[in-house]
Amino acid sequence: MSLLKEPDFGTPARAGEATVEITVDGIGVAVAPGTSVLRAAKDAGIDVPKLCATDSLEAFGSCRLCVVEIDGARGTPASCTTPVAPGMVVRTQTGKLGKLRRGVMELYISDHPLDCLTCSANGDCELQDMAGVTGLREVRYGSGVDAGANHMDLLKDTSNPYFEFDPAKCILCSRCVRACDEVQGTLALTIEGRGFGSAVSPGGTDFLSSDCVSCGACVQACPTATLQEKSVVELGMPTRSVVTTCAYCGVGCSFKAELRGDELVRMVPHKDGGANEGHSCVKGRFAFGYASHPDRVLAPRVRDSIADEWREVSWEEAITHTAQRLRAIQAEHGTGSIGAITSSRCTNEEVYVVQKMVRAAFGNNNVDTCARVCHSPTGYGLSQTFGTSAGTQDFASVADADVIMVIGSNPTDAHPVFGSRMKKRLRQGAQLIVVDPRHIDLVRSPHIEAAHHLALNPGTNVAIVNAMAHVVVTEGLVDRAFVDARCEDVPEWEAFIADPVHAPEAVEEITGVPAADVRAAARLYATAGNAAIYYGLGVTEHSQGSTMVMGMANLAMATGNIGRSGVGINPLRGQNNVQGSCDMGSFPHELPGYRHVSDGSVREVYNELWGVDLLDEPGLRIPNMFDSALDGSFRALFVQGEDIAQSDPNTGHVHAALAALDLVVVQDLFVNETAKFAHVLLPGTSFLEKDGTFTNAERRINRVRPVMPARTGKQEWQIVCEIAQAMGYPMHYDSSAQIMDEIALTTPTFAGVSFAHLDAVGSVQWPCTEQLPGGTPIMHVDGFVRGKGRFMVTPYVPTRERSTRRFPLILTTGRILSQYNVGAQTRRTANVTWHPEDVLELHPHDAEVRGVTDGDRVELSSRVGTTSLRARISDRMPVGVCYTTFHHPVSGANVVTTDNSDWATNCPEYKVTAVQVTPSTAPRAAASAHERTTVGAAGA
Amino acid sequence: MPDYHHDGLDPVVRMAEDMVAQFAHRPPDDAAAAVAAHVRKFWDPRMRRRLVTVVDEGADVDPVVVRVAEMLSPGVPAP
Ligand code: SF4
Ligand code: SF4
Ligand code: SF4
Ligand code: FES
Repeated sequence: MSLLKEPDFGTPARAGEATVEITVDGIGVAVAPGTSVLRAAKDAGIDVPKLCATDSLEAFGSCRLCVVEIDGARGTPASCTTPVAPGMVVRTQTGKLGKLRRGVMELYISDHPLDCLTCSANGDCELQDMAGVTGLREVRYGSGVDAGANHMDLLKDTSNPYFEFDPAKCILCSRCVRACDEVQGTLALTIEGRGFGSAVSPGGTDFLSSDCVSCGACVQACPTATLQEKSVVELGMPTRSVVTTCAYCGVGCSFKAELRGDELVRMVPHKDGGANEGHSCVKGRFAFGYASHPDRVLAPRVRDSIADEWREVSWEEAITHTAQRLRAIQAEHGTGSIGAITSSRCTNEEVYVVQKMVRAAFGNNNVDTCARVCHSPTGYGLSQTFGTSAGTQDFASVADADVIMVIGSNPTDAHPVFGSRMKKRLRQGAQLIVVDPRHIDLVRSPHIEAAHHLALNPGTNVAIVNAMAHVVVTEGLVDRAFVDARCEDVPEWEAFIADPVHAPEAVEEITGVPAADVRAAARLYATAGNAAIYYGLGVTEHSQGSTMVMGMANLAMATGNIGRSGVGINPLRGQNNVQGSCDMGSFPHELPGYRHVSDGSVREVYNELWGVDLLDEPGLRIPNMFDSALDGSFRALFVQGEDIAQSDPNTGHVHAALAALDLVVVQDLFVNETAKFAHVLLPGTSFLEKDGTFTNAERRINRVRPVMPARTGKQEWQIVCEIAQAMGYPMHYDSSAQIMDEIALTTPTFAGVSFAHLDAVGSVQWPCTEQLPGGTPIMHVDGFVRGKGRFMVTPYVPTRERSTRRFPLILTTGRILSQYNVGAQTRRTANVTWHPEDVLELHPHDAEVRGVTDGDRVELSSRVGTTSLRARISDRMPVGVCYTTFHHPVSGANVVTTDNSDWATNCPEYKVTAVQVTPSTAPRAAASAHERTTVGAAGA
Repeated sequence: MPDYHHDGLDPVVRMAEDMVAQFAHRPPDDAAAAVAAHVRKFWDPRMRRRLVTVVDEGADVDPVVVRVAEMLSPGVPAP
């Protein structure tokens, strides 16, 4: 339930034209076939009382409060389970119906505690509302504790850190069970027992020990206070509500932030949110406590050397000091000696001003973004083949897919709300192909089983995608009409891919996947109708990441799976604003809108507006910044909301580079690992304080609205503008809306975007122009953005990283549901209940030969470093492959990852590191190989 | 520069060799031209200069990388 009540139509909308006409209480209404009478009545403006129905769930028909009379029909059918029929005449308010409804309510209330005035849901309870609506005045069977046999002394389950379950208040409407099944797809809840003994149960245990993933869908669906946020119990009902966007992952869910004064009470998923349509995951729904965590830095700090203590200073001093130091370093070491890294956690407007500061005030192109280390190959690969650096579909498209191929992505953990949508489609019968070394949850979960799980050896993606394309070409499965009309460089590619070296049989040895499985998967993908590819960092974070992205694009083009709903190439983006930060010109070779810095006509637009002469040569990428810091040509770095010291690979190298810099300026919420190397710390704002936009993985631009004033006294874009000004470059905006206006003015794909437009329509997917004010849900419909789709030759080049006798295992890294990236936020919430530390997952065989048992502490070493973790024995891993996450700095997974990187973009190869695992007796701090062999390199 | 990569390669050389490997299916001059074009499009000039210097100084590199370095040498016009 929620404070700001969106209308509840009772049952889900049905697709189709409104062709069925009926009359409800004398009012005519036309609806789509299959619509319930309850929903049709609501369309006619008539609220029929209801309890077990809500429009996020299919009707169930258990409470019988929604009964109506229908001309010619016997009895009083439940309107939620009765579909409309042409010419139907319905009455919703008669004396008989009123009596029936009061009878139903009497029974409910007789087994319900009558503590409405002190109940946490007072004012937000549908049972209370219905008692009023039905005119209930007396309860003949006694009520509250005076009633006969009842459920009022059942004990509360408070095991979940965020919500409680009070079975005494349960009316057994089963909305929670259905929400968990239909919306979330976890199937954690059941109604156990029969008759009077029936009760909602999380599988016979408490919520925390159950399969529950704490998404909150059941809490949302519960019409009473039975499932209730603990924050509402503690703080009371919120009094105001602001619609905004989640700041965790690239799904970009819309939420209503509900507050009492300036205190955030709860985050409720927004039904009108284009990305999530009312669903949420544990992070966005509950893990917002970090914003008010005492660790937050609220005043600027400065120090001369990283060995000194921090000194709190005024904003003015911090800004002047930063600007003077930057200019002094440039005077001594040259214009190109300084640069900045933008953050995918920040808004488009905040990112835009940082790249503008670099280009206009620093006078160089040394700006890069954390997308470098996640999806830069997506940008490169899709722009080479399709002509644009973005996914092709909206999320809703998955509902039209017949085959879903998931490659190197674990959507149920990393993109949970999209994962739920995908699972819904799979339960309806779409076929699933999983390409992943791990047996991820999706491979087999309730009512879902992958048709093919291609459990390939890490690092062999390109060999697999080429083998699939080989099957398509050599077995005559190419969509000739599509390819002939819409693509180019076809013969060269077909000749390349038809070479028998790409045959599944030929690469079986390399990939470890039986050729017959690859053939069957390729045939399924090519022939099932609508086939869609969804992929994640398991594709991009390899030395052949860009090749793999192009390989997938080739496969989709060859089979005609581009340009309509249900198909496409869809990157699942890690962070909330990865798409946006790339769109905003964060790459050292591109101005906003992915236009190369060498393009004179584009530079002219900015030269004129900004009064500068932009450089036409690319600047340094993040790994190049580190290398150049070590060779002395790069001396100062501004880091916006990112923790490169923890998140970037080969920690020893990163730490040495940071320690070598003359000036590190960190803008962040917390004293993160990178801040340990900083000379200036500029406190940042949480998403609850920001005013701007995020762009999600489906190119959807969502508003981020300030829920409370900036706790630091300044917006992040203001700080950046003030630094630029103090450096002598005039840069000023009155509001973040003005920044978006400048983006729209200078970037053709954003031409139709403004805060006012977004506030009016909710959200839009770019390109959004004057001709396309509603945006573009699906791209490349009639033609590719670059004209023809281009087939690219994609040779399989193995990684440099090899397992050897010394390092016989391959380590791959990833995320889990409850934690987020470096964990700076989620570690400061109760989400640690689920993931208190990073663990190393190891196959039972690999564990046994090393004498490792479950829960043992082990030493994990690679060619570049050693760290220590607790082992978890898991047969989700194939033999020879182990897995860990990088959410906690103490375990330092990136101490062992190497500098191998994608050949085209330098995206690091996080997913393949040759390692050895040995039992260890004592916990030890993570150490890079360099620290072990060199004195004082890292400085931390 | 200290060897954080533990393979003795200068970063610009390792990156250039990674690219050359991707174009190994093409004739050497074609491959070199493709890599040089990529480098011009995506590398900071100081890195290009470094590649040229490292190769000039006689680093033990793939012959195609040598060709790339020649194409990137000062005075050689971009095609
Ligand atoms: S919180 Fe989500 S996963 Fe847990 S029981 Fe409720 S609906 Fe199911
Ligand atoms: S817990 Fe809430 S949603 Fe679930 S059956 Fe009880 S009242 Fe209905
Ligand atoms: S799925 Fe992503 S955007 Fe949605 S609530 Fe979870 S973390 Fe936030
Ligand atoms: S709302 Fe229709 S039976 Fe409950």
